[in-house]
Amino acid sequence: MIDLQNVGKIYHANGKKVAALDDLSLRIEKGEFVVIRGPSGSGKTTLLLTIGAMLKPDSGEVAVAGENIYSLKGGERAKFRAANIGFVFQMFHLLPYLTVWENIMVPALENQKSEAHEILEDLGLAERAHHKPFALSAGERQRTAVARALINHPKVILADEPTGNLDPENASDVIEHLAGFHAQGGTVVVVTHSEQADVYATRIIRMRKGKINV
Amino acid sequence: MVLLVIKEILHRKINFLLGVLAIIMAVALFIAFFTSSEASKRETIRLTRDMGFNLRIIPKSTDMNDFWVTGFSKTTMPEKYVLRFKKFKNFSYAHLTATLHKQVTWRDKKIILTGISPEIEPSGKKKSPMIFSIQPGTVYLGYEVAKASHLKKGDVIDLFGKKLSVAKTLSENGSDDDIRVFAPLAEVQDILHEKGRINEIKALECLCLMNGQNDPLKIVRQQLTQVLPEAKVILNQTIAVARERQRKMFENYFALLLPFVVLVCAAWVGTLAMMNVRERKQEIGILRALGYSAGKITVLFLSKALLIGILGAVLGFIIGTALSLKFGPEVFKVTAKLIKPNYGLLIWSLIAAPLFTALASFIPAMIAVSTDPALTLRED
Ligand SMILES: Nc1ncnc2c1ncn2[C@@H]1O[C@H](COP(=O)(O)OP(=O)(O)OP(=O)(O)O)[C@@H](O)[C@H]1O
Ligand SMILES: [Mg+2]
Repeated sequence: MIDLQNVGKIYHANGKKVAALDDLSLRIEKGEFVVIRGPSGSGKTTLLLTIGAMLKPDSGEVAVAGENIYSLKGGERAKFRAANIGFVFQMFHLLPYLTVWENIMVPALENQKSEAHEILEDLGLAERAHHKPFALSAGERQRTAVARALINHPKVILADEPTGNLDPENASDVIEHLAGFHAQGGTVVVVTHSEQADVYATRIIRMRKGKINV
Repeated sequence: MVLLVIKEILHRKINFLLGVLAIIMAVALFIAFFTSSEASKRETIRLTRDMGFNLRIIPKSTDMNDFWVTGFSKTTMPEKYVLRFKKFKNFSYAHLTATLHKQVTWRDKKIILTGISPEIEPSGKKKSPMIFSIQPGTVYLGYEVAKASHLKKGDVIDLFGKKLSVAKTLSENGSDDDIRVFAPLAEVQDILHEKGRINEIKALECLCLMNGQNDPLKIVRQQLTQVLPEAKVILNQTIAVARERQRKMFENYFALLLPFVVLVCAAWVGTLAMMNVRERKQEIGILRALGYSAGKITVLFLSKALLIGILGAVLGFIIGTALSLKFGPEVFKVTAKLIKPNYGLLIWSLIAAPLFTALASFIPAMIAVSTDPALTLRED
């Protein structure tokens, strides 16, 4: 499902070079639930964005769902993201001026109203559909973000510390929803310090200085 | 998509409204200027006419000393001469009227009997009449004439055996018009036994000559030699030129102001768009992550700019028109009625303003799509 070959990404910050990804190779099969851990600055977010067709690496090859994503043109790559990838972020990143319902529909490719209803129901957001993010609890916000990630039936969900701003109860709730997606055959890659995810993990990867610790 | 644009606008009203405001002010300024400058042009001509006709075409053999002493030519020419002007295009004569004047004594007073024909326009010019036309069987009385004989509207007078009704008594004019009796040309010709003859064609110079460095009189004379070599022309320039100069000066000021207004507006709208882009950096990153292409994001920002332009154009048109309707009549008293909404200008502003806002927002939109979305998403 995901195949990275000798991927390198170097940032230049005030004259210094930082290797956020250092000759990294990684293969994740379809249906895996991968947990990524590592100290701050080890390159976890960079890795997720690279897999998510958001950040072109300086070197190496990245294939997702059989597609060499960085050989695609900008518009094609955007389409690829919409159809195949669901993102969940630590800060929720909902659009503040849209309701829960509208936020979920932002990436929707076709008219997926009936499914949106189902997803809202599943995530316990049906009552909240017409509220704006500011009126929601942190847990509800993150569940909205998960619903948004699910709307297009992606092949992969990439979650970057999705529980980082949640209390343990809401955190496990979100992890369980990711597990639910995984149970239906989806592939999950989640960066998290929470140990609740370990129960569902098919693999735990540790990163350090842009490399995978083995 | 549309929802996204609208909801964002409602969310950040201030930014949007400030943008609209800038466009409103600019459009209103243009609209007010163009709406009233059209009236101002007419005003110039009208005022000129009120000062007496601008051009006086008289028989070539007229004795000029006589002419200036009596105020009219003793020599006459055929009335049908005036028809010759009909065939000419791009002519600097307009609103031609065949007239016949003669000094007569009526009710023991010397008056000038003046016959006026309906206006004739050189071909290709369709204009609303500038002078009054007198209905058959009626007369207009000059101020002094009416006063001396205690005549008023509706009275029937005997004019050398003709029974004519007074259609109007004119207000004091301060010129020899005050001792004139105006009647239809045919009636006057009849009375004076001058069938088919006239002694003056009055006309307005169309003001098209006054913008050049050329001597307008020279051009007017040249044209007259082509059409009517049997006549000569006198041009009463002073008032018209002064008026026209004033109008031109106003236009020049505006031309000076115009690039300034446009620049300030562009900077204003561009800055607002830039602020909007900065504020929405993360949002742009998210939209990218959710599968929006750079093109789609550009469309998002440009449609907002277009909305600003459209809204600003419509409101600016309304406000500009309202302003010129309210204040225009005070400035242009005579032609007040001519100041009316010019819907052609609305169409122009609907084209120009959105184009303008789109251009002003273009660089911010480009910055919006070219910043690395990954950067903004990492800012946790
Ligand atoms: N835009 C950037 N410019 C310069 N350096 C950057 C930039 N983005 C990331 N880095 C550096 O790259 C390295 C990897 O960053 P990354 O965000 O992937 O780490 P992370 O593992 O997600 O850290 P955290 O746990 O704090 O989120 C860090 O050293 C970071 O300082
Ligand atoms: Mg990170």
